[in-house]
Amino acid sequence: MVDHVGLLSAFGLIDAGYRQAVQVMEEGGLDGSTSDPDFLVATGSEELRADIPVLRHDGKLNPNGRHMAQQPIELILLKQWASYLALPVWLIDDSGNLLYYNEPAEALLGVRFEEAGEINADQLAEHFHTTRLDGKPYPNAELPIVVALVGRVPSHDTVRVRGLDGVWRILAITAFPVEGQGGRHLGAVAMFWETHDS
Amino acid sequence: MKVTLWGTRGSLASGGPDTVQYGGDTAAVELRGPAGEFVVLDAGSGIRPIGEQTPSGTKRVDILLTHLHMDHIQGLGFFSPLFDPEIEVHVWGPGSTTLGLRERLTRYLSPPLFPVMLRDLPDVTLHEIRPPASFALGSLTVRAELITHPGPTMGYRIESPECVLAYLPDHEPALGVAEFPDVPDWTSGFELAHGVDVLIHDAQYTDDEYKSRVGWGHSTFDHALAFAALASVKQLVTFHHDPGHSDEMLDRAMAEMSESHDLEFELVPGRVGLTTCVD
Repeated sequence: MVDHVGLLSAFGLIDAGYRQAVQVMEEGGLDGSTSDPDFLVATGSEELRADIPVLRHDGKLNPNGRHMAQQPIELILLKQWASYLALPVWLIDDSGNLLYYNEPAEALLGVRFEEAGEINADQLAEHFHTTRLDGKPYPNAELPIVVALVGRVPSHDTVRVRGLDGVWRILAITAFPVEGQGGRHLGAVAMFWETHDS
Repeated sequence: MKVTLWGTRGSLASGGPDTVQYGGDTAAVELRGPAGEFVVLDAGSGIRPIGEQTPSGTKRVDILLTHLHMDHIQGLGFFSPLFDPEIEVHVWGPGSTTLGLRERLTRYLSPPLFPVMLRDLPDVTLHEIRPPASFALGSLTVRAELITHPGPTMGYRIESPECVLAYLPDHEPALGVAEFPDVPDWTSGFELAHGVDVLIHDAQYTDDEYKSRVGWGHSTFDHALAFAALASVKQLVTFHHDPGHSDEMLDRAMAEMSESHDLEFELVPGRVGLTTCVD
């Protein structure tokens, strides 16, 4: 979790107060970590994986500068699910990068996924502006996506968002963390519903 | 490394005169490592004869389960080394999000489905794998990843200095993909299979059969070919044959696959007794 905080705070999504809140959550055991005494072989450690080369199909780098590798199956299936939905959906990895957005979400972003591909966390923070419904600034740390990603709990709110096309919209946002097999925190899913009621 | 197919059938054992060549037993593959490792992939009904031929003096057997569907564990209770106190048996497999491997296996290895309790077996150690995982079995390196199939299901990549094997017996990488194959990083199982010498892969359905079985967790012949090509494997061994597919039908399908595609890898029909990955 600390890594997520560091990454997100690096591009201004998390302030000092939120960092403190995260620390409280971690100390309270809310970080989803597991310590199953009956678990005979915990074999997914980075130490062991380090012996196996990361396979690259085209040498491409992902938004974090890491070499692209196959996504976890949970994210692959979520992408397929999202691709069939008629409401906008974002799929975000554990570092805050927007891995995938479906066709309805392209309207919010003002760019097609087939053209732009993944959008890294820095670009997201730079191009999206969010306020409360009354126009007051929305604390980044309270954004549903950030809460789901960092706090690892579901979150929902209705906000004003200015997208890449410069248009302000009122959006209901529901975000939930993606907790995979074996206690892996893989990212978050955000769903949007445009509304004209304020 | 030497890999031998003992059970190739999917879903349900289907012995009889029409399945003699490809085999009627469900998934079980014997793997012998260069340093004497004795590994069995899955414990379908094909594992019983592997147990019967276990050499005397064997000290350890490792069974790697991809998942716990019945056709992959049904033979476990009939694997004779399990009842030999001189042999250590290590069973590796996935838990679920709510149950551990032991609890899941006990559902089968307990009355009324089976007379012997798991806890009564003399020397069995369970290893619950939490994927993605990497571990060593002697000189072999094993990597396990979740793949597309209903319920927690893993594929394995097993490496020895001379041969790299990928084992994905139940796999539907085309599920929900608008155009298959997709790009590699969004394709289930790609990393496991990429560049291997031998890929043992699900090839259960014809295109027509698949239309009414989407989401059941299996591939068509064409899916298997496309996945093998995407992963740049050297050899594809077809596996998990449908219980309704006869030897004659499978021979015909294999011939059509070879004739209709410009394959850049060797296509090998997964017949019982086939030996591959021989150093």
